[in-house]
Amino acid sequence: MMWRKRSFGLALVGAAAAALMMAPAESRSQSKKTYKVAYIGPLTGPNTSAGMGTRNSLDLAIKQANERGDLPFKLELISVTDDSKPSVGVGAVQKMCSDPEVVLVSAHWNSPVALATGPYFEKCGLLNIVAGAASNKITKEGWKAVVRVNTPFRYLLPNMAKMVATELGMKRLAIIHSLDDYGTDIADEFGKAYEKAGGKIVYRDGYNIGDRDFTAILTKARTAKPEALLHGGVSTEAALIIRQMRQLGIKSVYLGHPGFQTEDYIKAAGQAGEGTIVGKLLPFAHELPGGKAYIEAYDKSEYTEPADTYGPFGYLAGQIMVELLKRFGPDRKALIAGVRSLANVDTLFGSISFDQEGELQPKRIGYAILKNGEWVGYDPKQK
Amino acid sequence: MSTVEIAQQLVNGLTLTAIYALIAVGVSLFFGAIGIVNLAHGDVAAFAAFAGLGVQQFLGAPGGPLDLVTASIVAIPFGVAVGAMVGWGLYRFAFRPLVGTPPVVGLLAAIAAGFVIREAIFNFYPGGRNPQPFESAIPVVLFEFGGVFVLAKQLFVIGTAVAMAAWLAWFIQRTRTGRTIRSIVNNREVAQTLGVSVDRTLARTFLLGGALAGVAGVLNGTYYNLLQFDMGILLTIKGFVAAVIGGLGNIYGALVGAIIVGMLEAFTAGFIPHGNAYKEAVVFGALILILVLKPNGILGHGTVQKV
Repeated sequence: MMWRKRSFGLALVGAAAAALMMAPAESRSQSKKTYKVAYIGPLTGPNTSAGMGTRNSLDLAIKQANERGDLPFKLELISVTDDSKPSVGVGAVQKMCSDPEVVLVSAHWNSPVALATGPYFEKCGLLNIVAGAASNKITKEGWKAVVRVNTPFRYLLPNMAKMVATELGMKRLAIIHSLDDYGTDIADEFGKAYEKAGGKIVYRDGYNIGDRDFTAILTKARTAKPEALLHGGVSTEAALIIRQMRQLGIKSVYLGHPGFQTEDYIKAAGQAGEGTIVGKLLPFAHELPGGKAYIEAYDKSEYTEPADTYGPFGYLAGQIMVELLKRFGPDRKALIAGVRSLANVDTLFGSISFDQEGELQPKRIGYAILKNGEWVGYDPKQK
Repeated sequence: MSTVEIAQQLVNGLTLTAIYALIAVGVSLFFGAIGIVNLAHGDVAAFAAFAGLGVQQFLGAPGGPLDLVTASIVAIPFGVAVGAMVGWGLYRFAFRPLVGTPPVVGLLAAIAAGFVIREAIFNFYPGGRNPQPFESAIPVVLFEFGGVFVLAKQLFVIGTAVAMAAWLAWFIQRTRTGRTIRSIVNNREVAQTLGVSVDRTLARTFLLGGALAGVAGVLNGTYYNLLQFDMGILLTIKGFVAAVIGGLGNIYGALVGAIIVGMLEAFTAGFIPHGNAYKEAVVFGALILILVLKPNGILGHGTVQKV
């Protein structure tokens, strides 16, 4: 009996010692375990400011989750540039696909790049949470491995067109657009909704990407006497067009899309850009439910680049990544299978979910006007 | 198509012509003198424009020694001087060592030089990867002549190009350097026999061509108010097409070619429904047509080798 007692006591001590030895080892191995998430976007090239703001904001969300210990493992963010080029983007995605430690990606600000890499994400079974690229087609291809947190153009443009025709009461519109899918889609979607809302398109013309001289088409547009001119194209050409418009004495209101709302446009368009109105894929950051905390955290962080307009989408993508990993673990297949069932997640944008196409719900839009060299909120009702 | 509309597109076309002509003349001169198609010539113009922008941003910055308008005026001769130096540098370091090699080697060197210039602006000019606003020394003033709108800037661009063309014609015809350039263009061996220093003359030709590209660069900045690191590509293409249409090696041909290219672009965009999309196709169609009818270009002369 004595022996049994002693042996039981010894066993208990031994087990306790073993547990003591094991516990730190286990916790040490857990604290060491790190999974990678990636941002792929325009960290070089003409859209760098949008890319940096998005990347930094995503990084902020990841770092906060690491600090709080939201997950039983650490996350590390890898940043790779796509240079706004489909070929570079495809190369970057292939690299992420072949790294088994990469469990989630948020990729692309430029729609042509997102459309080019979609099949690669699908094939290698890696989830891409798009935070920027707004082409309608991205979530229409049936890719299970691609979801999007930013509002697509198909939601923004019809609403904006209706606003121009009804709330602003501008019934004569000219449209100038780049002749690629991006510009043509903007012109088509906006134009269709504008005419449906009672407006008349008095002039429409396209240009080839890279053009610098728009005087020939602008002098033609002027004779049609438009009240507003919509430009569907990138911000470099937008700056050239507004400068040439104002030089030629065309006083029509200049309308644009979210891509214009950058510091680069303000600088490139100069004084001529004043009064430009853009539709936004999101309200200003401070108007979002979690906006104040996000702005404060970003301002306190070490990032030297501004958060830019798209920063909140980057932060949202980061928050969603953390939530997905919390619910489904660092398993690529489970993350893709589970993302569309994600619901009631409290984020910077309030409570969000995804629909079956992979679009974020609910969708939000806003408007901005360039005033005194700064993008400020524009309320059409208080015109 | 009313008279006013035609006059309006004529003004638009002349402005394009002015910029293309200054590039085309350089392309034509170089081909005549050294037999190389300098596909980096538009990039020299872009580099010169960025040099002018540097002056604006350095001297005309708030707290700088000059106000922005004065700095913009200073930027013009500075840009031209930089264009001349880059033109000379291209000859000295890229083309001169290749004298005597097959033309394709010179062509490749020119393409490489173009890449180097573009990448240099992209990577080393502060913010060079993004479009940079270029302050115009000419104020935005719009004149109306019977319904035709003309910008003061357009008059400046057209006037400068016409003055440069007149000066160039005088320089080539009346000065000693101009005569040596012509002698080399006409027959290098004979010129050499007569004591013309080919090397010195070629260096001066590139200095002159580079300066003209510099003028084109700062005029481009003045007119569009926006510079892009890769804007030289389009300038090279348009200048080259104009030079070929007019007859490579003939500076007057280059001027004629520039008028054709500028006018075709403006009238295609202005009068063909949705023609803006096809203006390049129309210009290149004209190029093919002219080469079929006159293989040496409109004012070109020489023999066509049939292999």
